[in-house]
Amino acid sequence: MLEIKNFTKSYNEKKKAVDDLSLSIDPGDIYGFIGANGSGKTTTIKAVVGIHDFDSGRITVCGHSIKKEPIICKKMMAYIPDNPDLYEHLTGYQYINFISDLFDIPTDERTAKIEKYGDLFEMTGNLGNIIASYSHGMKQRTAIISALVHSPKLLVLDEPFVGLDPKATFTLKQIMQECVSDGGAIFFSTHILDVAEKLCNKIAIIKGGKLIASGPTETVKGNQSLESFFMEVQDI
Amino acid sequence: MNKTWILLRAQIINFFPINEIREPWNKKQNTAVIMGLGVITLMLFICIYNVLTAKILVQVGEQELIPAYMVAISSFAIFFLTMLRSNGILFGSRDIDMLSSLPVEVGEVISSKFLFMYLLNFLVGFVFMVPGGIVWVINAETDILRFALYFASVFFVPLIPMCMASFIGVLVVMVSSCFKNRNILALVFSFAALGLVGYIGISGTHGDSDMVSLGVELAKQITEIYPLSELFLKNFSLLVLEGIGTFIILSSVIFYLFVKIVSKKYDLFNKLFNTSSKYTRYKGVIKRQSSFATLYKKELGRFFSSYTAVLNTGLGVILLCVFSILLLVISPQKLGLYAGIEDMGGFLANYAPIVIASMLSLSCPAASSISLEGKNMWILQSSPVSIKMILNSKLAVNLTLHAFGYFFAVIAVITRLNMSLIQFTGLLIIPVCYSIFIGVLGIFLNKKYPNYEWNSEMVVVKQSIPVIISGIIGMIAVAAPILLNWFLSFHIMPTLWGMAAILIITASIMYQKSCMSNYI
Repeated sequence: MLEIKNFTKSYNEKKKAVDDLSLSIDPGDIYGFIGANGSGKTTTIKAVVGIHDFDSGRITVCGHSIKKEPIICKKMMAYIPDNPDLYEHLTGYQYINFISDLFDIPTDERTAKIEKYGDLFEMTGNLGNIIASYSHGMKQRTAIISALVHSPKLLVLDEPFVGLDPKATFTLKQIMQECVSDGGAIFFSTHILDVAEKLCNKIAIIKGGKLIASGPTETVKGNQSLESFFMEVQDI
Repeated sequence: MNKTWILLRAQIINFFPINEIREPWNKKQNTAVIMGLGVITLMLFICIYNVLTAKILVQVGEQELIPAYMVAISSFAIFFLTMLRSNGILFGSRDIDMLSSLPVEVGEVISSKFLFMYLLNFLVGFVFMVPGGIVWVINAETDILRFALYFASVFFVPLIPMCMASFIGVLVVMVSSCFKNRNILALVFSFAALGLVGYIGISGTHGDSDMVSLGVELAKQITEIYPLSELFLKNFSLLVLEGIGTFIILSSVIFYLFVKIVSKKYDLFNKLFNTSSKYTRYKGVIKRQSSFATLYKKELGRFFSSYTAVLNTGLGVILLCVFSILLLVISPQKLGLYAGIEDMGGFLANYAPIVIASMLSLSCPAASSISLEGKNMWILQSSPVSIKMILNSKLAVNLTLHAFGYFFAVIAVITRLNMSLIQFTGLLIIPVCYSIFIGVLGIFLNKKYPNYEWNSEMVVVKQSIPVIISGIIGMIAVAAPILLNWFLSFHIMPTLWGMAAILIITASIMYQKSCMSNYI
């Protein structure tokens, strides 16, 4: 589904933000991407979703290159950033409708999806309000609804649980499970190691821009908890 | 260090790319250098213009009017500039929440913001008053005290116009916040206030002016633009001390009182500025549109929701509308008398395309449209739409805005003037070429030098490198055919057609280059 090969990105000539990173995410995977602040998680994610260009390497979504065929790739993906900065002067409905237009979703389909996810995330009553009046969690939920409205094959999430209340967190986890059981895949970064351990079938750990471990969760962490393993590799 | 100074220092570092310049490997370094060169060029132009103006006053033997003239003109410029930006730096800036959580007094916050605005306005006052002042010192026969007081007053000249403009800005925000469509009303009030002040200033500046009474006439006109400039007309030592001294004291007192009063109600003003429109409920009508239509609608909504963007980038189109109304209401002959042009009809028939183009070139929302996306940029970057379509939607907003003023102006010109077929074709096509060029140039520059990290829209709408450079290039594109016509006797119509062709070719090259990339 998502293939990252020898991905390298630097912001200035002196230091590489991500160096020669390779990962493969298959259908049915919930792939957790773990690392300390500034380790290169967001840089990788932004390159995967076509926000940032990169120096070398190859990123493909279902065989299509994000550099050469960005529109085909983006149509299959949905991205939710760590800080959901949405168009504040639009209402929730207008924003989701805007995204649906960009993804060319038929009216009936988008109406059904907005109803479904609006209810699931308890946002239906608020979607008529201007986004500027939303709390951080409400903006996050609106961003999630807009990401799900076109039934993406690949969900790319940057710290998706930050700002969500326990119920919304639970709902999102359920939706993630549903997505992969339908043949989709999820690639997400998180600092919540307990969630990663329980939710992800595969994990990757990045440190200082270099991938230091990746593969099935059980294989990577071995007999210890993910937290212990993570702390161990951070000290190396 | 005093907290006001700490806050001011942080604002300066945040506003000017000081840290970027210090980092040799930083990609923004080139941008900073180009921006610096642009600002210096603009300041040099203003300095040269003021030296020439002062020299003209010397030539007609009215060098004693230079101080009052420079004070009046710089005050007028500072007033307009502050009016356009006070509601963006002073109120409604994004860092207010962060600053409110810090252990600083409201008075210190507002003082730092005022000082920052003062710093920018001081530069404006400086480029007006110092070059003119030097010409005056060389040519006038007066005492050292008057010279010294004049140059000392450079530091005080921005204070009163700043307070007046900020006061009107506050008033506009307060009144418009009571209404449903807050931004539109704020814009109408702002333009009305600017128009009113402009009218009061200019309405007194016409009349019979024979050479005998030229000095009296000029002094009258100057003091009508800015009554306080009369204090600079005194000639004798004691009166000079009284005049300029009064000006300095009055400026300081008014500034101090204004800061004190605003500090008391600063929270309220910020709250009013940040209040969303009262029309907050929207029935969830889910309607499908094409990607371009939805991007265009979003872009148009974004533009009109920004008071700062419309006020600053809509100015040219508003001026064009005012010009059209004037042309429809007042006959070209009367307008000619008013402007001192003998055959206004003939003049406008030839120059109408460039007059319209010059005002359109003042309005370039495209030059800040990419930067204005700010932290929302990820939405477009991760959406399945081509860069070309995103840029087209932004360009379309620019063209829509121009079309509004263009059609109005074309109708007014056609109604009022007798034109030949060549002149008529020029009127229809040449402004369109300029409009396309200005829009594409804005997009091209903004794509090359985007700034998504801003605290106030003002930073990208008024002071960003694409806005400054597109403004300068626009001015050159307008001035070039006129100068060729005036100084090298080129025929105006063929020159304008030639220029239009160059602009369209340049625009198409820039457009192709901008759309080539897959990243924005």
